[in-house]
Amino acid sequence: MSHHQPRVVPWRNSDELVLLKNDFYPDFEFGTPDRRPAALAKVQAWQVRARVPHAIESTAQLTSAVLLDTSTSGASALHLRLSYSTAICRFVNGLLDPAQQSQFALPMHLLAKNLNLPASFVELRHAATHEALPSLVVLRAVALRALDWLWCDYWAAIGVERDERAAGGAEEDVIVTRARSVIKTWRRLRRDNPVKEIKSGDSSAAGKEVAAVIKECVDICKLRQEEDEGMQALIAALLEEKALIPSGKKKAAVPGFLEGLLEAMVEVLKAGEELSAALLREARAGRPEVLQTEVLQTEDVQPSYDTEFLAAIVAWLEFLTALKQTRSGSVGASVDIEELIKQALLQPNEWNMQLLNHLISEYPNLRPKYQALIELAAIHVQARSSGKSKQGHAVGKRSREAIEAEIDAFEERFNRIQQQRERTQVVVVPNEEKKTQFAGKWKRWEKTWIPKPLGIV
Amino acid sequence: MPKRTREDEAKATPRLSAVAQRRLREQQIQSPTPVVSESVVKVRKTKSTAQKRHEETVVPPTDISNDKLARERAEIEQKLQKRVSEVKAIGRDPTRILPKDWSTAQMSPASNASRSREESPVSKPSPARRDMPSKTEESALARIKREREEKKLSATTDDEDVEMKSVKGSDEDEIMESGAESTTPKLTQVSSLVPTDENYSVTDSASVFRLQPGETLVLVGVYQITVTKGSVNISGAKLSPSSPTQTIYAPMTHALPVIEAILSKRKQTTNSGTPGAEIRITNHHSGILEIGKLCPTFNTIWKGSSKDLGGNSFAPIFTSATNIPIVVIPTSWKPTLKALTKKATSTNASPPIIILAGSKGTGKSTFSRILANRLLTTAGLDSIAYLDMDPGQPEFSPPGIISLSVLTCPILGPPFTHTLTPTRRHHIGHTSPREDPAHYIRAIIDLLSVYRQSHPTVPLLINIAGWTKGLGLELLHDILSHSQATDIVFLGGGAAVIAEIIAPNTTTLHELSSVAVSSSSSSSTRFTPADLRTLHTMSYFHRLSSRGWDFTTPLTGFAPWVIPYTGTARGIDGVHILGETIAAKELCTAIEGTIVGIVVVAEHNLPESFTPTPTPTPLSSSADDELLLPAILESPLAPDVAECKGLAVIRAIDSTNGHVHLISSVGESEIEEWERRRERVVLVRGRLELSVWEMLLPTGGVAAAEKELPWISTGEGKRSTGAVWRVRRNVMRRGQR
Repeated sequence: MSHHQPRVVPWRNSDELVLLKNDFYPDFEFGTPDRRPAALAKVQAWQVRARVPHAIESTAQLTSAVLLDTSTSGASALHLRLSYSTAICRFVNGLLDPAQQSQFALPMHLLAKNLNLPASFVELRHAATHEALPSLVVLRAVALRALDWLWCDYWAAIGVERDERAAGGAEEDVIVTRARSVIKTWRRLRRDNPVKEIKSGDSSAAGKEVAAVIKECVDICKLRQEEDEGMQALIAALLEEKALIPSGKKKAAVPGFLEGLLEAMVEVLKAGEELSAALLREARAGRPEVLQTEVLQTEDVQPSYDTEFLAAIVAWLEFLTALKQTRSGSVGASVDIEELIKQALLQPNEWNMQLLNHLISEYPNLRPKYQALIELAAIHVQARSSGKSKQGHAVGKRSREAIEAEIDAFEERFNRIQQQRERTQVVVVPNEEKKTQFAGKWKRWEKTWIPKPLGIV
Repeated sequence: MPKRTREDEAKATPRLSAVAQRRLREQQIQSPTPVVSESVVKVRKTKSTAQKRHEETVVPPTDISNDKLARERAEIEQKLQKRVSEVKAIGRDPTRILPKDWSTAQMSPASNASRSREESPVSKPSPARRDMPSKTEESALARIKREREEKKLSATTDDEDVEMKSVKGSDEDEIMESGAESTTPKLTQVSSLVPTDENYSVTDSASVFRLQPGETLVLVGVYQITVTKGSVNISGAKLSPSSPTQTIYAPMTHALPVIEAILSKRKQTTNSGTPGAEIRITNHHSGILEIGKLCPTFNTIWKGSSKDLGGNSFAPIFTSATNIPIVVIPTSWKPTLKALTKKATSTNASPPIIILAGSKGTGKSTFSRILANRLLTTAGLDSIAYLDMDPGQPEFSPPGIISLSVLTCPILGPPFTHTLTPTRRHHIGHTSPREDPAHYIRAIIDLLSVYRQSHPTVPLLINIAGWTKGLGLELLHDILSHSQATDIVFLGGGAAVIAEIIAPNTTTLHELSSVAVSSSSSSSTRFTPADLRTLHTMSYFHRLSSRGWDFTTPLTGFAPWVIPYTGTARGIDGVHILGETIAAKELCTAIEGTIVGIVVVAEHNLPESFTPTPTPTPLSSSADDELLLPAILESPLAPDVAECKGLAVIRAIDSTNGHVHLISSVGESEIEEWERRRERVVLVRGRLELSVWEMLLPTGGVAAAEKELPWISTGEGKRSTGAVWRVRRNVMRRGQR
C-alpha cells in the first residue's frame, strides 16, 4: 500500500464518495426512493468547500438535466434543451481542455480519440455551441450516453479501489463489490449499444471495453478459487444486479439485452475455458445449479416474483439446455438433463412445466421415460393455479415494499445514532477549576488542546 | 512586444547569436568602459556580461580594469590580487565561490525589451561555447531547465492566477528567464560587493558590511539592518544612521531586495577615510523561518541555492551558480518616480491619488513598494494610504480580502511577511472579482470613502489587479471614475486602452516599461501564484498577535475558539455562503473545515428576513435527534455596512451543543471591540482554499494517523475525469501571434 502525497478532496471520507456513486446511479428494481436530488445537493455543497473532480461535476450537471426532464416541474422544451446542452458542453470541454497539453490547440476529435470519448459527443458539443440547438431527442440520448461513459470511466472504479486498499479481512466484500461493479459496467455498455454483436478480437473501442469486462469476470472467478468465492460473488452479482434477469422496468430493452448478455456470458465462459479448465467445470456446474434452485424454489415464493423474472430464468435454462449447448465443449455440457427433469417434476408449477416441455422437445430420446410423469404434473399445476387468488399476489408485493422501506428507515436512523455517538464521545466535560479565557462572547478552548484533525469536535 | 514562441526563438538563434558574438568581440577589444550611472550598474544579470566574465577567466585578471570610479582603481586591483592568490590557494575546488569583481563590466544601456531579445538565443548553448562548461554542468543545466519547464507548464494550467486578460505576462518572462538561465553553468555576480577583510567582517552578533557608493549587496533570509555610516537604498527606501533599525524579509519566493550604497554628495567631506556606507546586519528569528517544516514546498525559501544558514537567519549572496532573481529598478521608472514624489510632497494641492495598472507580472507591486518607500523615507511624508485591490495577490491582507491601509514605515518584504493590520477590509472570498463584480465595486467605493473621510490629507496609492481587457477593463473604468485619480501609472504595453477612458485634463497617464528580468514578484520562477497564496494564507494564520509566527504545528494543533451560535450568548449570528444556496442539511458538508471570512455588521443592518437565533433544525422526522445548525443568511452583506475583520478556519461544528470551533488569529482586543459596539458576526464562506499541510496532524501527518483524516486523500490522483478541471488560458491557435 503506497502513500501518495496527501491532497484535499471534497468528500469527508471515501464512504461519502461511494454513497454519492450509489445515489447517482441507483437501481430502481426494488422501488428504492430516488436519491439523485440528494446527490445533487451533496455535490453543490462540495463545490463550496473544495474543487470537485470534473467527472463528479459533470455527472451532477447531466443528472440535473435528466431530472429536470423527468420531473413534473413543467420545464419547457427550451429549458430542457438549454439545460442538456450546457451539461453536455461542459462535460466535453472539461474533459478535453485539460488534454490540451501542447502550446498550440489540437483538434478536439483527436483529443477525444485519445480519451476514448465517442466523436459524437464532440460533434454535439460543436452543434450546441456554434450551430442550431440540437433537438431534445438527440440531447436526451447523448446525456444518457454521457452518464454511461462517466460510469465506465470514473465511477465504476470508485468503491472498488477503496475496497482493494482495505484490509484483507473484508476480502469477500471486495470481491462482491468488484463483481457488482463489473456487471454494472457491462449493463451500461449494453444499453449503449444493445444489438451490437460480440466478437472476440473486436478492436473497436466498445469491443475493447467488452473484452475488458469479460477479462474482469474471468479474473473475479479465479479469486479464492479453493473456496469458490469469486465464482459465487459473480453469480450473486449477476443475479442481484439484474444482469441475467432483466428488470421489469426495461421491458422494451429485454430481447436485445438478454440476447447480448447470453452471447457475452458464453464469451466469459469460453475465455474461462481457455484460461482454466477447472474453472470452466465450476462454471458449468455452478450456474445452472443456481438457476435451477431459483426456479425450483419458486414454488413457495412465487407471488413475490414477477413473471418477467421467472420467464427470464426459464429462458436461461432453455438456452443452457438447448441441444447445441449441451454438446461436448459447450457451456451446458455438464448439465445433467435427467436430474433437471426430475427436479422440475418434483416441484411442478407453470414455469417448470414450460421448462419440461422444452427439455422434452430438445431431447426426444428422454420422452418415453418421462412423458407420463410430465402429463401428470401438468394436471397438478392446472389445478393449483386455478385455486390461487390474485389478491394474495398483490398483498404479498405491497408488504415486501413496506418492509424494504422500514429497513431503510432503520438503517438511516442507525447511521445517525452512530454518528452522534461518535461526536458525543469526545464532547468535553467542562472543567470548572480552569480559568476560561474570554474575548467578548468568544471563549478559548478550556483544557489543554490535543491536536485533532479538522472536522472532529 | 509581440508574443514570441519557442519556435521563433529557435529560428532566430543564428542571427541573434551572431549579434551577441559580435558584441562579445567588441567588448573584449574595448578599453575600460566609461563611467556609467548607478542604474546601469544594477544591470548585471545579463548574458553578455556573463559571457564576458567567462572569457575573462581565461585571460589574466590584471588586464581588466573596468571599475567605474577611477580613483578606486588601486584598491580594486589590490582586491583582485588577493582573490587571485585565494583562487590559487583553493585550487580547483568547485565548492568555493569565486566572486569576480570585474563582473561590473558594462554593456551599453539598452531597453529591457531589446536586451531580452538579444539574450534569448544564447539560452541554447551555441556550439562555440559548448566545450567550455564541463559535461556534468551541461547535464545539470539540462535537468534544471526541464524541471523548470515542467513546473511552468503546471503553473500555467492553474486557473487561480485569474487574470482578466488574455495575454499572460509570463510569455515575456519566459524568454527573459531562459536568457538568464543560460548563465547557470557559471557563477553569476549577485552582489557587486566583493567581500574582503576590510569591507566585510563577521562577529557573533552581527555582520558588518562597508559599501562603496554604487556597490550593492544582496542577502537572503530575515535580517535587521542598521546603517551606521552613510546611507543605503533598499527597495526604494533610503536608510541612514538616523533611521530606525529595519527588519527585512528576503525569501527566495520573490526577487531579493538589493542594498545599495548611495553616493552622498554633501557628506563626502565630513567622513574621514572612504566614502560610502557601513551597515550592520543582525539576525532576526521571528518564527517565519520555520514555515518549511510545515509545508515542504517552502522548505528552502529562506536559504540561498544550496547553502544552509547555519543558525543565522540570513546569508549574504555574493555570487551564485543558479539564477537568483533580484529587484532591479528600471532606469525608465526614475523620472516617473521623481515626478510623483514631487507631486506628493507639494503642499499647495490636494494629495495625489495614484493608480497602478498594467498586466500581470509587469511590476505593479514592485513599483508600488518602491514608490511608497520613497515617499515615506526620502520625501519626508509621515504616512501614505494604500488601497489594495487585488484579492488574488494582496499586499496587506491574506488572499480573498481587499483593504485600505495607512503606511508609516517602508515595505521591506513580500506580502506574506507584513504584520500591518489594515484600516478597513472587505471580504471578497474569491481570488478574483469575477464572481461578483458588483459587490467588488461596492467594496472599493466603500474603501475610497473611508479614505476620504479618515485620511484625506495623505497621498493614496491604488494597486489594482492585472486587468486590461473585458470585465477587467470595465471594472477599471468604474474604479477610475470613483477614485478621481490624479495619476495613472501603466506598466507594460497596452496603455492605449486606458488613455481612451481617462479624462486627460484631470488625470496624468504615465506609461512605463515593465519591470526588468525576473524582478517582479509574480514572475519568480519557482512558485506559482497558487503557491504564493498558500504561503500568504499560512503566514496569516500562524501569525501571533505579538510580532512573530508560530510554525511549530499545523492548524490542527491550534486550540480553537469555542463560540456558541445559539441563544443569547451567541458569538456567531449566522453563516453566509457566497453565490450558492445550500440546504440546511448540507451546511456542515459545505463549510466545516474551510476558510471563512469574519464579517461584522451592526444589528440593524442585518436583513430583516434574517432570524439570527437558529431554531433546532430537524434532520429527520424523528423528534429525538434534532441537531442545531447555524442560521443561514441568504442575502450578501453590503460592504458599506459590513466590514471584514479577518479570516478564520471552521475547524468543526458541534451541532449537538450549538458551538462552532474557530481558528483565527484575530486579536482578543478586536473581538472585544466589536462586542462592545454590539456588532453581529457573520461567517462568510467564499472559495478560499486551505492547504493540505494545515489539515494534517502535527506528528507524522497522515501516515501516522490511525484512520483516514477527513477531506484528505492519500490515494493516487485520478487521470482525466478524476482530475479537477483546471483552466489553461495560454493555449494558442495555429497562426495566432
